[in-house]
Amino acid sequence: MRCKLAIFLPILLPVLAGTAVAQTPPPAPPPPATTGVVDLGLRFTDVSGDAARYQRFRDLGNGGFIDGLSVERRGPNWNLQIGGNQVGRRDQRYWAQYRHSGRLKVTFLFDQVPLLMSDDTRTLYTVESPGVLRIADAVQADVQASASRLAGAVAGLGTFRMESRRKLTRLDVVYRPTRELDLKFSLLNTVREGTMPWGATFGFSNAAEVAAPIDTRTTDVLAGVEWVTANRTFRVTYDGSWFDNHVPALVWDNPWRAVDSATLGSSQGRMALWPDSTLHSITAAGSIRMRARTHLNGGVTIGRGRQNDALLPLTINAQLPQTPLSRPTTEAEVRNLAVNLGLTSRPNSKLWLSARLRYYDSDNRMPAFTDPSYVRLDQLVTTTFTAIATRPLSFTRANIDLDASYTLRPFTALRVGYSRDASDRENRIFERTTEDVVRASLDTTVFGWLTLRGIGERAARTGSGLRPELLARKQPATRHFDIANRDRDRVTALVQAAPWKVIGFSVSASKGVETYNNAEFGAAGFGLRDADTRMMTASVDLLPAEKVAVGIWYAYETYSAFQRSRQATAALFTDARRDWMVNSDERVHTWSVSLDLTNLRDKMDVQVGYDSSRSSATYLYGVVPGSTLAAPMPLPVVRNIVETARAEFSWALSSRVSLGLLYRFDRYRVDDFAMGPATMTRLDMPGSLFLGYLYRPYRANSAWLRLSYRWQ
Amino acid sequence: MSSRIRSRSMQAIVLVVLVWAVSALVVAAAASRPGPALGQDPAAPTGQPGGYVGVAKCTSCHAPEAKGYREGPHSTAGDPRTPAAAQGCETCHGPGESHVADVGAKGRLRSFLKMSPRDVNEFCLSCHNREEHAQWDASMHEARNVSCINCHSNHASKSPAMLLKEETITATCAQCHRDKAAKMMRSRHMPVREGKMECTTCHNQHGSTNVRMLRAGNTVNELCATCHTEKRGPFLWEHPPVRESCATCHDPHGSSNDRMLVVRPPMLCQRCHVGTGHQVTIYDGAQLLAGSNRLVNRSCVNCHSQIHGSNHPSGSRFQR
Repeated sequence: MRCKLAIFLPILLPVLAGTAVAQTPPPAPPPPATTGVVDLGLRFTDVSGDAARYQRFRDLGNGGFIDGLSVERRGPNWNLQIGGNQVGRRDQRYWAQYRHSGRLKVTFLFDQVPLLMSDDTRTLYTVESPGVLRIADAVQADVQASASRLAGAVAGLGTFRMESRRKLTRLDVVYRPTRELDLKFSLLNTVREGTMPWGATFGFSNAAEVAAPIDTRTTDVLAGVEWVTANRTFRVTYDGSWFDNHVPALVWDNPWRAVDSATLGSSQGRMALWPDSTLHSITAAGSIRMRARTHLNGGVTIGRGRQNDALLPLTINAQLPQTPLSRPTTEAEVRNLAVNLGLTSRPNSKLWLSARLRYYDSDNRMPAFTDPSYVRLDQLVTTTFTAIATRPLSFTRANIDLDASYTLRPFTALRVGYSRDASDRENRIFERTTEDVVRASLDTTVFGWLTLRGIGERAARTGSGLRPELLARKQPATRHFDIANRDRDRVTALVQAAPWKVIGFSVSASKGVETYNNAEFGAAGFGLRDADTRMMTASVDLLPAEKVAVGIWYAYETYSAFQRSRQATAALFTDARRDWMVNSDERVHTWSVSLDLTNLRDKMDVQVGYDSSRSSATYLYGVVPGSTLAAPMPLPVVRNIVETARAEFSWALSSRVSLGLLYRFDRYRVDDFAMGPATMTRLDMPGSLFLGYLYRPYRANSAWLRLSYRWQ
Repeated sequence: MSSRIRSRSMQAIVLVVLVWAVSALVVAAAASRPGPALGQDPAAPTGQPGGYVGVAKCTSCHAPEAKGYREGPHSTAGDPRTPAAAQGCETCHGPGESHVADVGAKGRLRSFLKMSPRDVNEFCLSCHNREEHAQWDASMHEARNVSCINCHSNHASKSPAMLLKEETITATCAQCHRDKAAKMMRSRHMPVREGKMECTTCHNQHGSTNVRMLRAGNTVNELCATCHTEKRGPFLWEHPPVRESCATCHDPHGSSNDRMLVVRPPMLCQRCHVGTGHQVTIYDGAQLLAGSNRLVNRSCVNCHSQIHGSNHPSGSRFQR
């Protein structure tokens, strides 16, 4: 019966449609109308502490603002929308969209994303030209004569703002010449400008940090055609991406040396920054629907990435031999192939079957770079270094997922599944890893008010084809955790219930245990040994009255990991008494509370909320019984507490005008032993010259006075 | 690439192409029996006599639902792909004549709240079958019995676009993915809270060819490199775990560690680098008191700043 219906419906539909049209003639198109809204006002912000971190991705500065501006003009078959947010601010965004119903859609977006890192970083360096950072010769000479004079050199340095901005400009066009066909074009231009803290070392005793320049542009183009009918789809897409770095190299002075030396180091360093690169790919994909609600889809992507930047000389140190390179450019090329196939079927209303195959091949074709010498930190020519030859990484991944789901009740499904991942790779300790995963899940939505979801998963990963030569000068019992033998068990459960309209609650819990097995070494394996993650969340939503909504949400997460190492020199390499362990442990409490009072007297809305995330992390070292190592001294606890409280009042003065007052309190408290001011008391730390980019607390009070005007 | 891997790769390619070819043949054979199309009902209420009554008739009683319909994209009559261009409300809910004749009778119209999740999905996908939704059928959400109407509401949406049941995309996802929502509130996070990103910036919740329903590319790194293009490479010197997956070291949903690392350095680096010298030193409180630059500030990255790959001939240790 259903099949017959399916056959006859396409024939009947136009007839029925014609009947319907005859019954309800379309109304005359309304004249074009313009609507819009503008959101503007004044903002006052008072920040104590690290003001830059408070505004890391946003601009909450004092003064007038236009938070939102949007205008729409709508015609019978088209509409045009233009708008903007945070107009004129560092985090500004502008957009426009034109739609001609069923025919054309053009979207434009300009979005600026700031990354404000610090307002008060300090440096000895000045920018001579893009990518060239200099220190006054006199200062270099003075510090070379006596390293202790560096403290005097940095005293009284002025501050500078460390920030970068990402500017995205995007144009998307979708043209629909027929009902089945879409032609797509997309252009995205991303410009990044600014600076970022960057390690620029001359060795352990001469580790400098500089403000590395960022001046890059990425241009992404997509062109595609998609043909879709009720039962078949076909799509061909071209993606092109060009990355250009306008500062390909960084040259910086050595604060500790004024003149080059063949034995004592260089007066300056030089490193290659991010190379220009291109990536082109073509994707062909399609799908077809068949009998028994069977759906087959698949696609093939072939891609080629290239990078052929000029190679810098081995060193900038004029006192060292300038050995010519075996080739002038990188000549790097990666060819990618991705094949995806999916087959799902519902042979009856209760059974759902799915099979999915993914294949990905990344073939790095860069010729090996095997120059016989290497200059360490622009200071020392090394010819015996064993890792001089490059080791381009190629890999192949094949993954298959098989799942079967049986509908026990109309809204309850039990699924079992199996996956196998097989990866081949070059130049890593295991040539091949395979991972087998079995899983079962139960998902139910009973009567629309109760949702139960649970999943359990067990995975076992095994490596093979060990290449011991890649563990030269490492403990042979070391296994890199991302490809090591590993068992993983994960369980997650979620309960959501809204038995009455006035209350809804949700509880979820999850646990994941990872155990890294090096069977041949037992407990003596090195590296990450186990990791344990637990999470519990609970939330309640209350609607005690028509105009009142209350939400309370809490989450608690723990993470614990155990790793093992051996503090050894070449002479003590096998001395197990020098083994040590560290347990990384983190606990995080997250709260979110909200109260919404809507449409109170005089058309007033009130929203109050509080969010917090409180994290504490410990790193606890231990040594083996009978250790010859000194007892480790504990590291301080790392704490991060982020809090936000907000209250917003808005009055609808008329149907067009509303007035709003928003108050927001933000506080960040942090104790970070590595990047906190208690540790980083000065720029010239032992053997180092830093910028003073720190993790510090802030406390901010902000108030917005907002006027919204809507016209229509 | 070694001949061994290349050979295996070729075998796999040949296998895949063969599977695809056989599948295509099966498809060609089956194509004469089409599945459901626009307006067709994969789980149609049977025994439903009568015809269509038109939008005006429906909205004369169902005013709240009509408001949601009119304000949403389904009502764009000028677009031949919308319900409004076909039978309006009845495109999705079925012909209403028998319902109008006996309003109290059950089962005369298609009610999505009473349909199984997979029936709902199948119906919605009869129209929403283009690129964004093309991978739904074998997606993780489909496998978990998630329904379109778990996230979307045609008649009572709260969002300015996409007919979501919550005001924002992030709030919609957070209904179930509460662990991720909690991570986004940590001190180091992507600019999601600031409104510059959304869950859907990285994920395609309707399914994708990538792992973890990532929106672009076929690997984690291909997705990350759509924004972090400078780290795309290929580089002269590669750091293998970096090339395999950014998620080896970073937690993109948020972290309490600088640069959203899964654990802070030097402990993170020491999980793999177990050799001699400074790699395997205990960086404890004593080292902290001494201000060791292998522990303070950004630890290992103070010197190995090119940890994502170096293009300098002397960059094998990622210091140049």
